[in-house]
Order: sequence, then C-alpha cells, then structure tokens
Amino acid sequence: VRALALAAALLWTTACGRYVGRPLVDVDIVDVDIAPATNLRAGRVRTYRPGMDYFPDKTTFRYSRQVSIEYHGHYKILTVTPAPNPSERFHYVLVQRGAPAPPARPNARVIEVPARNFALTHDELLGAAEITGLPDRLVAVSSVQGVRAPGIRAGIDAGRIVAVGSGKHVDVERTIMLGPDVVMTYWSLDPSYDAHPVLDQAGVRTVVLASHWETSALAVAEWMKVLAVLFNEERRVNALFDGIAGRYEALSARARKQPRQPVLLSRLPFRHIWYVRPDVVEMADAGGRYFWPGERRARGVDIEAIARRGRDADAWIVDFPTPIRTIDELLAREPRLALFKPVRTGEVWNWDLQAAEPDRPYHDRRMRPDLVLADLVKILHPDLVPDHDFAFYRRFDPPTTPIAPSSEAAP
Amino acid sequence: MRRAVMARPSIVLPALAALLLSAFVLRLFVGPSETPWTDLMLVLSGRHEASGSADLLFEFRLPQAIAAVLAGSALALSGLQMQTVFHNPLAGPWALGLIAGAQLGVAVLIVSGSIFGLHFSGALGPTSLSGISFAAALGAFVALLLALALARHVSAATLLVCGLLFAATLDGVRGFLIHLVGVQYELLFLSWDQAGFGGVTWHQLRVFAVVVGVGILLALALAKNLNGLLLGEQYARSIGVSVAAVRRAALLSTLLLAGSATAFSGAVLFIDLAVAHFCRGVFRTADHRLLVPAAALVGAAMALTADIAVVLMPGDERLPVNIMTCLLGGPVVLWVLLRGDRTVTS
Repeated sequence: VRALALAAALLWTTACGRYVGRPLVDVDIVDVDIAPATNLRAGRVRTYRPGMDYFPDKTTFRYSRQVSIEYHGHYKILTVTPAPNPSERFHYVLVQRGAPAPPARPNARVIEVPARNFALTHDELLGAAEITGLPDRLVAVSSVQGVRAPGIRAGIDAGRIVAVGSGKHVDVERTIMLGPDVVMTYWSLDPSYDAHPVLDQAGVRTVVLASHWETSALAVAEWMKVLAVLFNEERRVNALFDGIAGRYEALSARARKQPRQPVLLSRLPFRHIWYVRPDVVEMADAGGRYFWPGERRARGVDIEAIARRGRDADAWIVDFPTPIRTIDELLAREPRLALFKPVRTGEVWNWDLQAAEPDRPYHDRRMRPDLVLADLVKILHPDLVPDHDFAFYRRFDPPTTPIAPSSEAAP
Repeated sequence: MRRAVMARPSIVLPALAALLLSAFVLRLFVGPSETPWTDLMLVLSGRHEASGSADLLFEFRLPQAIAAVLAGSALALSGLQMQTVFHNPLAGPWALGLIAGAQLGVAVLIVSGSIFGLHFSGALGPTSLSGISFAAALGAFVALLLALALARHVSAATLLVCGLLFAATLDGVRGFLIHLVGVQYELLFLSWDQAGFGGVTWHQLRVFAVVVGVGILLALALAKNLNGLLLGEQYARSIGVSVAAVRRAALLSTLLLAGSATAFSGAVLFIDLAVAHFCRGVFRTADHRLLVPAAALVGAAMALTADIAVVLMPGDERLPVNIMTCLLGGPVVLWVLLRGDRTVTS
C-alpha cells in the first residue's frame, strides 16, 4: 500500500509540475564575415571573429538615472542601479549569441542576446513589450487579468502567454519549466518581496525592473530600451523613443511658457488621509503647478491640511486607480470634497478613459508620456493643442444636482 | 501591607468627565492646518464669518472629535463586557470575530461592486461611505448571530477559542475575495480599512451616536448582572442571574458598540483591550456600576488623546492613529497592571 501511495504521489507531482513551455524561437546559424550593418535580431553567429563590432546599433539612456549601458564589440554591459539603494548594483553582460563570454566579472550575470523569449513578472513593462513589437516573444506575465495590450491579450487568449505571479509569489517551478531566456522581475525596497534571488539560484537569468523609482515620465518610458538591448532592437526602439521624447519636449517647452499656471490637486483621500506626491514633473511640464510642492516622497497628510492648502485649486488630476467615475460617487464617498473648487466646477479628471471606453485605440500610459502630456495640456491650456483627442484622461461625470459649497450642513 | 482603596464614583466620574471635556476642547484647537486659535475662538463665539476657518472647524475638527469620543467609548465598553462575560483578560470584540465580520462585509460589497457594477445597490454601493459602513455593520451582525448561536451550546472558554478561529477564517475569506478583484477595488477596501476618526460625516455621526447611545444604555443596565458573573456562572445562577440572558445582552451591546465603531472608524486597536484593565487598576474596583461609565469616559479620552498626539506630531505627515493608541496605552496599562500585582503580593 505504501509503495502504491508513493507511486501515486510521484505521478501526481510529476503531472502537476509538467508545464510545457512554448518552443523557443527557431535558432538560425548566421555567418558573419564582415562587420554587420545592423544588430543581429535573431540567430547565433557560427564563427566568432575577435575585434568585430557585433552591435553597430547602440543606445544610451538619457533620462533614466538608474540604467546605463556600455558596448564592447561582441558584448554589452547593462547596469541597473535601483535609486533607493545605489550600493545594490546589477551588472548584466549581454553576449552576442554564438560569441564567447568575456572574462568573468564579479557579481555580473551573463545573458546571451538576442534573447529568444522572455517573461515579465510585473506589469511595469507590459506596455513596453507591446509598443516595441515583442508580444510574440513573451511567454509569461504576472497576471493575465486586466491585460488590455492587444498583442499580449491575443497571446494570452491563445494560451501562448501564461501567468506566473509577481513579487515573492512568482511560481518558480512554472517559470523554470517555461524556460525563458530572460525573466524580468520587480525590484523592491523590501528584499523579502524580490523574486530574483530565488530565480537566480535556480539558474534562471533575471533582469531587475526598477522603473517605478524613476522621477520623470520620460525616464520611465526609456525603460523600453532595456527590452531593446536584450533583443538587439536598438535601432528601431531608439527611433520610437526619440519620437516620443521629441514630441514631449517640444510641447513641454510651449506649455511651460504659458503665463497662467493652474494649480492642481492630485490623488484621492483614504478616509481622512490624503497622500501627497513627490514633485510631479509632468504637471510642471504641462504648464501647471502641483498644489503641494517640494515633497521628496509620497506621504499621508490629514485631509484638513489638504483642504486648507488645496481647496481653491483650479483642477483635480486624480491619477489614481479607482472605480469612482462621477462627481456624485466622489461626494457619496466623502461629502466634504464639495469644499474643493474643482469638484464644484467639474474639473476632476482621471486617466480612466481607456477603461471607460474599451473600444478606443490602446495606448500604454507609461510608454506614451507624449500623449499623457498632450492630455494634460489639453486640460490646462486647451488652445495649445486644439486638435488633440484625449488618449487617457476623462472628466468625471458631472453631478446630477448642483453642489452647494458643502453638501452636508453642519448642525 | 497596603490596602487598596476603591475610588469613590462621586469624585471619579466628574473628574473623568472634566478630563474628557478638556481633551475635546483641546482637539478643536489643534489641527494639521495651523488655523489661528483666535480665528477659531471667533468662529465658536459666532462673531467670525470667515468661511475657511468655520469650514475647517465644523467640517473637519468637530465631527472628528465627536467620532473619537463615540468610538473610544464604544470600544472600551465592548472590551470591558467581553472580558467579564468570558472571564478572560484578553477577550474583546475582535476575539468574537466581530471586527473580521465587519471587514468581510465590506470586502463582499466591494467584490459585488466589481462583478455587478458600482451602482447595483444605489446609495449603498461600494463607493459610498454609507454603503461601506452599512456592509461593515451587517458583517459584524452576522458574525454576532453566529457567536450567539454558538453561545447556547458551548462554554465561555470554548466560545472564545471558536471566536478566534472564526475570525481567522473570516480573515482568510476576506483576503481571498480581495485578491480576486482589480487593484482599484483593492485600494477601495484599503481606504476603508485604514483606522481613524476623520472619515465620518455629520449624517453618519447621527446614526453612530444613536447606536452607541443604545449600546451604552444597555451596558449600564447590565452593570449589576455583570457583577454577578464575576464570581462564576454557578454563583451567578445561585443569586438569580440569568447567565444566558446576560451573556446574550452583553453580546448585543458589544455588537452595537464595536460594530458601529468599526463601521465608522475602521479597526482601531488596543482601546478595547486596555481601558478595562486601566480602570480596574486605577479605581481599584471590579464593580461594573462604576466601571461602565468610567470605561466609557476613559475610552473616549484615550481616543481623543491619541488623535491629538497624532495631530501634534511635527511635520504634516499623518501617523496612523493605531500607532498612538498602542504607544500611549501600552505603557500606561502595563504600569497599572504591574502596580496592582505588586500591591496584591506585598
């Protein structure tokens, strides 16, 4: 009986653990006798030629304060330095597939490029995978719920992309069985939340994501270049990002010169606590002023203090995930918000347009700061962008009855 | 050997009421927005028409101070009654699963909102503060019904253990439900779950005050019978106390008090546990005719003091009130308990 039970347990374990990963992208052998005119975006070189520059397309990180890259003929070194902890520096030696690895560097992880496939254990770069045209290389995401990017959604619906969890809840066994060339994992200030130590130990090649610690929208969007260097797609992604950054900076230069800079509220109260944000660069770039300047980090402030300083703001840019979409709902949740001018004038906005109108063309907020900025400028200085159609922001539905300065009179 | 002397109610209760009144008035004059106290004085005397200061006083500070008084009294009395009914110094509303029931009620409402749409229940929907408060009260009520049903069949000690296990199970169900919904709904739950006295509106305060008032009256009416329970259930029966009826009435009072406090202020910690011990230790009595009003006053004063301490912290950052209830209450109760223990053993 014991033997049978043991056999059954073994069979069960094997069956449960038997995840069949998607077959890797076909590997072509590439003969390269002369220096290539562009990066090799697939395949492996047959014969390595020392001294040859295998990466004629290069990139640099202009906005990110956490990512840098060096090119060395047949390998490149990507360095990620999470902003809150600069001593924890991650070096990734990205070696041209088929070329020998350079001499070992301490604490460096070696990854062959172009990678054939990858997994994302956090949502941060989902939009980057979509916009850079790499959804067909994606084999796993943190969760399949709520993914709207069409290419990735198609992969999920077809069963090519599966969920492996996020943070410390990453399903390590499933990730190993899928066998992606690279797993991009979330870097947390709390090491117990990190998945990369366990995955590294299991022999999975990881790259940490820290775009959430960037302080500007362009720096966040620039993380699309991290995907580019892993897939040797520098040329195409450089052009894509440069277009976005160029449009952003051009519009920002005009908006910043506007004589009137409206004052802006942001976020939502959590009961009587209202979280103020660190300096919001995008609001200044859009020709507005955040009502609570000078903060270095997000922190909770009593709603009374917020009312004192922010009740006369010109507009309220919520910028927060919430199912609340109307002024009536806002007041049902917190009647004292009627004291705030933007609530009375109907100038309350949030980036929930795509959720409210799913038929609109898909854009990712993190990867399209130019569109986010154009939306904000349209709210604050509509004359500057008369032809722009909102991509993300939507005005809260107006109240069904006019709002008195306070919807509930004190006794 | 020193002899413990019981405090006299005619001195203790007016003194506590004066202390509470002072804390209440102080709370009106301290706040995070640095409004000049002279402006507030003028507003209170009706001679100032500056709408800014009047709004801050009447829309923020006054309702917050009243909510702290109601929640503090309610939690302290519910803790006192539970400790007596269960003969257990660690008993409290959380031990019966009432708090977990309230949290589960809110989680169910929010998950329903994510499935059926936010407006499926109109004004009692998941984005409405009234809806969330109602769901919390309903969740606590269901948890209490289960506790009452169980109380008929098991001893007080077993009921307490069952309550703890029940609360853990409800926590698990709540965590599972919240895991199922999107991040915006999860944040909606977290927004409610953040304990504090500042999120209560005037309309809700009326409901809160009525429910807490009924709960306090019930506790006062039970005071003599609760004294009977102190000497054990057998003895209580021998002197004519209907143990089952008293236990059920105390549970009902606890539901009204702790359920409403949790619904309107979130899960405020420590007051329910600490105040009863503090009152017994300081006033040297186990007589509920003194302990019930004293605990109500001390609980209210403790909640107000914690709220004032939070506001007086340097900088604008708002500390969670639970940090202060534990920081202020812990050492005081520890001192009272150790002092009482030394008196008994010396």
